[in-house]
Amino acid sequence: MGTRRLIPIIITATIAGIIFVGAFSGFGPLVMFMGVGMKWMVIIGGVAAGLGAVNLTQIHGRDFLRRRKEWWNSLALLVVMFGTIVIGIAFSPTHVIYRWLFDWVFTPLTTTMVSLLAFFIASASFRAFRIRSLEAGVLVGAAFLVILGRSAIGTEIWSGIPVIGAWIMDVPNVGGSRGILLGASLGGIAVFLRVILGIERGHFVG
Amino acid sequence: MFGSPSLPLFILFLLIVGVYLFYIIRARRGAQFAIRPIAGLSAIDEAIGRATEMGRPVHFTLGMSRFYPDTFAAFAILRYIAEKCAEMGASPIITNSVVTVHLATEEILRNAYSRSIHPDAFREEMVRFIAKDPFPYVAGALETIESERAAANIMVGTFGAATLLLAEGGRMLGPMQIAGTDDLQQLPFYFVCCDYTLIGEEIFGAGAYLSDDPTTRGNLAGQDVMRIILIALILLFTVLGFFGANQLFEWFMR
Repeated sequence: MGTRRLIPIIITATIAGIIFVGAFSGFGPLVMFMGVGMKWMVIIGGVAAGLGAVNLTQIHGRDFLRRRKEWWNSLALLVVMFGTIVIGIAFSPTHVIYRWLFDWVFTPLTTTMVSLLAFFIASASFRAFRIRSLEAGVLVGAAFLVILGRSAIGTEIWSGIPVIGAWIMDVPNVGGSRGILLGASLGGIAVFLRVILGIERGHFVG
Repeated sequence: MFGSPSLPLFILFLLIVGVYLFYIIRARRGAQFAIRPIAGLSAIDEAIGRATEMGRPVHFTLGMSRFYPDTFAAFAILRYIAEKCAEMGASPIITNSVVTVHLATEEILRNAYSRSIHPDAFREEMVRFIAKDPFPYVAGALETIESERAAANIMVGTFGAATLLLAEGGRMLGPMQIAGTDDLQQLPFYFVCCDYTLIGEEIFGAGAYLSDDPTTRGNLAGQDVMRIILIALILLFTVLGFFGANQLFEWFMR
C-alpha cells in the first residue's frame, strides 16, 4: 500500500480511536478533543464549499460557453451565484440587499418546491394504495384503521378503532422498525470497522 | 452517549468488533461465505446494461449524508457502478449536495476509471455539485436526470423532506429507479416510487455483495452471527423479565 493511501488511513484510525475511547470513557481531554474535532469539521466544510462553487462554475461555465441546450439556465445560475457572493462579501449577510435576495428570491423558490410535495404525496399514495396483491390489501387495511383511529370519526363509528390503530402503530410497526434499525446499526458498525482498518478506502486519493 | 461512560454498551461494542474481526480473519485465511441474493443490488447490473444499450447515462446520488456509515456504504456501490460503467462504456453522472462527499465521489470515479480499460473516458463533469440545501438540490438533480435523459436513477441515502420529491419526480421522468436507505422515515417513499428498494442493512452488505473481496464478505458473515447473538440476548431478557428477574436488563440499559 502506497504512502498516499497509508497516511489517510492512519489519520482516520487515530482520530476514530480517540473519539471512540473519549465517547465511552468520558475522559476530559479526549472529550475536549472531540469538541475541537467538530470545529475542524466545520472549517474543512467551509473550505470545501469554495470547491463546490468551483465545480458549479466549471460545469455551468462550460455549458454556457458551448451554448449547450438551455444554456441560459447555466448563465442565470452563474449570475445569481456570483451576484450573491459579491453582495455578501461587499456588504454583509445581514445587509438589506442580501436579506432581500434571501427573503424574496430564495425562500419563495424553496417554498414552491415544498408545495409540490402535496401533489407528489397524492400521486404516490394513490399508487401505494392500489390493491393488486394480498400484501397491498393488508397495507391499505392497516392504513385505513390507523387513519380512522387518529380522527374523530373513527371513535364515533366504534370506540375500538383507536385501540386497534394504536396497536398497529405500537406493536407490528415498532417491531418491524426495530428489526430494520438493529440490522442497520450492525451494518453501520461493520462499515466503521472497515474504514478504520483501511479495508474501505476507495474514497482516498491515489 | 458522548461524555457519559457506559460499561455495558462498551462491552457490547467490543463483542461486536471482536466477532467482526474474527470473521474477517477467517475470510482472509480462505473461509468461504455464501451471500443471499439481494434483488436491488442485482438490478444495478440490469440498470447499467440498459443504460449502455440505450446510450444514455446512469444517474447516482448519495443523499445529504456527511460521511455517515450509509455514505461509506454508498461509496462501495458507487465504486461498483463506476467500474461497470467504465467497463461497459456507459456514462455515470453523480450529483452531490455535500461538498466534502462530492470530493470523495470524484476520487472514487477517477480511481475506478484509472484502473479500467478506458482510463481516458473519465470526465470531470461526470461528478457535479448541485446545492447544499435539499430542495434546491432535488430541483437540480431532477433537471440533470431530464436534460441528460438518464436511463437509470440510483439513490443511496436520504434527502430529508425532499426524498419524495426526488423519488416521485424521478419516477415521472421514466428512468429505472433503484434506491436504498437506513432511514425508516424515508423508506416508504422509496417503496412506492422505485423499481427496487434496498432496506436498511442491505446497503451495508453492498460492499460484500458487489465485490469478490473476502474481507468484506467475512465482515458480512460477522454481522449475521452478531444478529443471532442479539436476538438471543433479546429472548434471554424477555424470559428473565417474564420471571421478574430484570436486574441484568436494567444493568445493561443503565
